Amino acid sequence: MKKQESITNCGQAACQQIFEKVADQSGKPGGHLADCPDCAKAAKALEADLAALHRAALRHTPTMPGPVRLPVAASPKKPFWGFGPRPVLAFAASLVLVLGLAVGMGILKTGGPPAVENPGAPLVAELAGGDKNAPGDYPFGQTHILNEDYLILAGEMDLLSGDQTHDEDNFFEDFLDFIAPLAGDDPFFQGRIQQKETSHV
Amino acid sequence: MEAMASFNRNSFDAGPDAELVEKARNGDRQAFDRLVQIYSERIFAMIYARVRNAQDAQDITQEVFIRAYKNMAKLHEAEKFVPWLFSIARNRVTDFKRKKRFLFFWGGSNEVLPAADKVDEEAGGQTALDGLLSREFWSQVDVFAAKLSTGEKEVFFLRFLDQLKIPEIAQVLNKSQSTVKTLLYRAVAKFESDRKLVEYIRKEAS
Repeated sequence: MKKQESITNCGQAACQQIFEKVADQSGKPGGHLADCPDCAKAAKALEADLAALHRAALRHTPTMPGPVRLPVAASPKKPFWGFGPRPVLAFAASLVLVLGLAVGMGILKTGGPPAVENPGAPLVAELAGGDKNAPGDYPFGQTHILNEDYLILAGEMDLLSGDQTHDEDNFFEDFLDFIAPLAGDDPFFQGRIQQKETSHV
Repeated sequence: MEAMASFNRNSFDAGPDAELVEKARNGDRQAFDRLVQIYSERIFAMIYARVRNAQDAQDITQEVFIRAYKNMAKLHEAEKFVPWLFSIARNRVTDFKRKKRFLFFWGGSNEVLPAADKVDEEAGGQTALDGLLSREFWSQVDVFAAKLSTGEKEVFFLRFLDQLKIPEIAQVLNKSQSTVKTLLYRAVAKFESDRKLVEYIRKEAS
């Protein structure tokens, strides 16, 4: 280390000891400083200057504009599989939103309106009896016969009450009367209609 | 206010209560809050001496304690709490200055730090005269600091403005104690020879 310029007049290489004492603030002066009042005084003056520097720095430091705010105490870390309710709810909401949009935009097909049970099937089966020429799964009953609109139009059902106006005892006769104009040349119904007419005669 | 009451404006407190640090290390939030009360003003003063803006110093202080809180478990020895806290503060200040320089370079900011004329006169309820005196003081300090090397400046500030002991400075700077002493002796010699600053300080003190 290069020799420092002396700050005392005692002629010895004392300045280094002064700086060491001031920097270390070791308390008791040792070596040359203990013997030389001049150097001891210089060390004391330097200490006082440095202390004054510290005090001045504090004086010229403003107070903190506000208190330090810490985050809310952290909850213990969960394992990656331990999802809380929030992410699960968020995921479910996102899924619903995406599906809703997909259906709304026609990307996802829902398969159209639900299939209607064929209510006419038992009736058709009963009418067919043992006839091997019967049409079997004939869609006529489903699409025309039991549709309420047709029944209402034909006067078979009261529009307001929904009650059927025909006589329960003559249901088959009424039905055949109703179906005659619509059945056309269908051999199955034509046979039944003729049978009914002959039985009446 | 308790935080203010615990901060002595003439000097800094002695080391922390090791028991308090130990409790905070084990996750005791109240113990950590108490450490914040004890050290926030001291860390703020340390940062303010380097950035010279109260709001920036406040923000960095906040960041320092949040980092300390998150990394408290990594502090292995309770007695090293103070140098550990100061090393976090020093790193935050370095980052802050780097960002400032980057913004200045790319035209995002008009400020370059540190600069004596950037003393925050509005902060801390200072009057205009106080502001002028503060500006003058920090200007003198900057003139003196410009005569020191980076290492000398760091150890001088940590020793005489922040009142850390040599072993603590060595921990903050991650240097050996002998290196710190060498830098400090040189810095003290330069301080002693800076008659203008010494006379100014003596005049102010009287």
